[in-house]
Amino acid sequence: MISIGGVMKLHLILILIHTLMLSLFAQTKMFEKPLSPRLANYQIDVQLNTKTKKLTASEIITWTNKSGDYIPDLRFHMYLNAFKNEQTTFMKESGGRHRTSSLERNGGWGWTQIKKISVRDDVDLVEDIRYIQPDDGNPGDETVVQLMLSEPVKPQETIKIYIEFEAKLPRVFARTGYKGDYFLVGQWFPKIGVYEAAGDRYATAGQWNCHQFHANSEFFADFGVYDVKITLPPEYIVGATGIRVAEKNNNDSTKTVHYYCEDVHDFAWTADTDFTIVEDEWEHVKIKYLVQPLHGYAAHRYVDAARVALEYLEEWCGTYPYPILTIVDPQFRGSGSGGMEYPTFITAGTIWNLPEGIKLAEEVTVHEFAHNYFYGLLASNEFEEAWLDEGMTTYVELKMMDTYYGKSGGSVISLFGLNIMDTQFRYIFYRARAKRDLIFKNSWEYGRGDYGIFSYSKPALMMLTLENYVGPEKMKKIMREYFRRFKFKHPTTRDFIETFNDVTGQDYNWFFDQVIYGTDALDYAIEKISNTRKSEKRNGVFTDPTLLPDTTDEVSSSNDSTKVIKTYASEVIVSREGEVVFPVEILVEFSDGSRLTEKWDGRERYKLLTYDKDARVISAQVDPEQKIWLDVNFLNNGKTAQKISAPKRKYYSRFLFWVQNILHVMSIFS
Amino acid sequence: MISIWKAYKEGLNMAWQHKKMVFLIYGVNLFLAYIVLIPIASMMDKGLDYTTAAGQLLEAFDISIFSALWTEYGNAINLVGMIMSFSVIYLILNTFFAGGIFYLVNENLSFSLKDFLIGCVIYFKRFLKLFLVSLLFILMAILVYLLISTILAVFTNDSLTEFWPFTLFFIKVFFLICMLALVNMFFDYAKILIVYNDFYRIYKSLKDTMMFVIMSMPKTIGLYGLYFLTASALMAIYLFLESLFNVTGTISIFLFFLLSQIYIFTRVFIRISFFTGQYTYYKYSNTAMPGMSQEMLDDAVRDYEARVKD
Repeated sequence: MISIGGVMKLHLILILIHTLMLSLFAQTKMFEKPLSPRLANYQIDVQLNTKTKKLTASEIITWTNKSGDYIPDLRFHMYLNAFKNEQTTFMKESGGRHRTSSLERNGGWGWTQIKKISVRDDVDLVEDIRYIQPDDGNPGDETVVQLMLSEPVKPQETIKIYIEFEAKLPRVFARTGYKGDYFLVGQWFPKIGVYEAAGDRYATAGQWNCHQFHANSEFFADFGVYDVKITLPPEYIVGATGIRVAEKNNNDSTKTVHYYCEDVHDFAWTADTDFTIVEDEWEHVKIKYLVQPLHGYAAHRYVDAARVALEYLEEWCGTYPYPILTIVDPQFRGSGSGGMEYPTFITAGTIWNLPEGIKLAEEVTVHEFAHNYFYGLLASNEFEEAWLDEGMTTYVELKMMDTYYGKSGGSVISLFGLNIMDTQFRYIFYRARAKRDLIFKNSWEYGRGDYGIFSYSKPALMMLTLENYVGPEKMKKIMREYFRRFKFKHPTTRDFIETFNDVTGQDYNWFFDQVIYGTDALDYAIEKISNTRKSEKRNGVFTDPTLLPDTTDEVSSSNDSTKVIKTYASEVIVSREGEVVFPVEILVEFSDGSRLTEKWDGRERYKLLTYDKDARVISAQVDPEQKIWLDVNFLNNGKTAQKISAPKRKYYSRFLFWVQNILHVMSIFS
Repeated sequence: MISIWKAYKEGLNMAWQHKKMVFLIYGVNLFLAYIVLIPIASMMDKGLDYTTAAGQLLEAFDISIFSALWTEYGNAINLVGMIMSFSVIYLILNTFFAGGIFYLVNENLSFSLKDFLIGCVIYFKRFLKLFLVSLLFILMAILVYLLISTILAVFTNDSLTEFWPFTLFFIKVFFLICMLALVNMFFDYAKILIVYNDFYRIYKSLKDTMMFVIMSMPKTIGLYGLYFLTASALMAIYLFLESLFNVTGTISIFLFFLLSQIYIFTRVFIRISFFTGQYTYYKYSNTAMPGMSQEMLDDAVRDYEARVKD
């Protein structure tokens, strides 16, 4: 048994070692000056048992209370407990399914447990911790743990929290876990919540923002420095958040790989015996691809996509500050860990010999990399305002995909004559349920399927609509300013709107109130076109042939230059079918080839456009350039005075052909 | 002895001689497909007749417009149900027509609607029974496929790469297609046997057919394969020609329609050639087979040789 004096000595030694290590790391630091407040800093030493799929780790969290509050407790996320049993909130909400993967009930569970915890000193407080359920009160959920302190954390105080924990990884499910020798270790360590003082984000009083792990939500954390040592068998190839600063072989047939990253708010890592490493560089960024052996064919696709994303975001937001980007190609059975973002570390995904015409690898790569801005650097609260990361990311994803990969007419699918652009793809999901819910909502409160629409699709289409409205240059300024103001912070919806208004110099709340905070739909339509023929006498000599359109009936006698000209009293009724008010343009085309572009503020329920011309209106179209992607029905946007049959014939003959083929195939068994 | 190549050519030749019959079946195919698509035509009439969106669709397929068209006007259409129902109707009609096809071929008659329908009526009951029995065989083939899938899944569930699951999947599907082709071949020859020998005993004819197909195995499969290759080549030609079209104007729409209908016609033609080619092979095969005496066989061979000389 160790005496109290011995414990004190041991503690001192640990602190000395820690200080020594910090000074060592100072030599390998990433940035000259801290880029973020560095409130939550982690030093973790983890061992992976590749047989039992367990992690054994010690963790030192150096946490600063930046508020003026005396904080009586600490709260930690214990994300892996979401996969502990059927009773967790995650499992109840998801039914054990996440995206395309399912949790394997037969031995595939995951959990984490704090073995020892001490704050400031070496007194083990593990008996004092209790699981709490701030969101739903579900007693079966153990994804948030609270530790009441004997002495509150004082304002501006920095404390050290020592934790020893053990975790069992699930079989790959919902971003994390193992399959065979493949490990993707995410959300794996006890992670301190975010303490919000009154005035921070939406807080009216000091409070912990530490939500349970839900099926429809991602994460929220403070920035800090991560210094992580991973010990595992030597045959494993490892990738992780940040830069690798050291690797050494141990006497017990293991190796320890040491990673370090500054000014990030999460840390994930991967290990596999089968990875092939492909390296590339883009300006100051070293790009490392960990590719599955069968997916070597896709390496150049990942490379191109990463370069596209780096270039685009550099221009549209600002510099990616980190010197490294690691892209993981998950194992075939580990696809549940694909398509996920962590700072400087993303998981993509493809399948063997996927045709070039299906841009899955590209789409996932650009999307997940964009998250390094919208989530990574602009660390919004994904629990409460998921659109700020998913929606913004999807917005830039659409732009990147359609700009760089859409030249063939299909940026996500261009196969066998079928071309689908990324924006169109998002749009069809949005329009199907456009009025069902709103963007500004806690992510776990969405109904099944709605999270994707209102956190990804609708916000992305909203941003695209805004960009088309204010113009791309203005939008770029807005995005760059938003990035400049809020990088390494926790921006809110309010912050984005303020930035938008500031940069444009106008109040756009009328728009955001409707689209972000409301469920109404935007739908403008051409309700009616009518042309009434009437005759008009014109006196004089008509030398200008344009005054004599085809429809002119000319009546003339030898002594008379009076002409009777057919004119048209034309009407176009434009209507607002949805509740959302948005200014629109209307293109009116006349039978003489002339065109008029009208503007309408869209406030009234309808607008009557009247024309008295020699030519009749042949068509009218709201939003002729299809700039308003929020419009739920493009079909009613334009009307023609005359029936158009060719498109119907085209598609009808195609449908006919396919149905004939199906019938014929069936007849083979006659 | 007749080579499969000769049987193949003769099959094509006979189908061409009965091209009116091919037209008739093609016409039925077109008519039923037309009926299936009445709701779709109506949807397009309502949704596209006076819209500028139609112009956009003419230029290129736009899924955002098409999804609007479908949800605004086509939600009530049960297209899958319609296609399934009409497929069953077409299947039964083709079972009916098979009697007419074989009757004309067996009796060496040129096409007349009356004779064709007589043949259809004569054999329909027997062919329908045969068709129902064939469903059991198809079901068995699917069950075998599922059994193989289950067994293979044990080995591939833990596969850490796509290689084996994907490879085995394609092998499984290929195997299923082969099984279905075999079933198809059995029942084609069963019809031939029924017509040629005027058999009424379905199970006996099926048993004899299976013996015949198995005993003549390389050739029966070879002949089937030749027609299959012909159909595949026609599809490749069609896809190539279709890729040359930029269907955006009235003329190109008409040309595309014409091309697609020629292709469907050739598919029906090849299907009938399957029948006539297999019929020829059966008729002139010198393999001793159940249901056909050596005397009958010699007779048939003599008959064929005389025909070829002519």
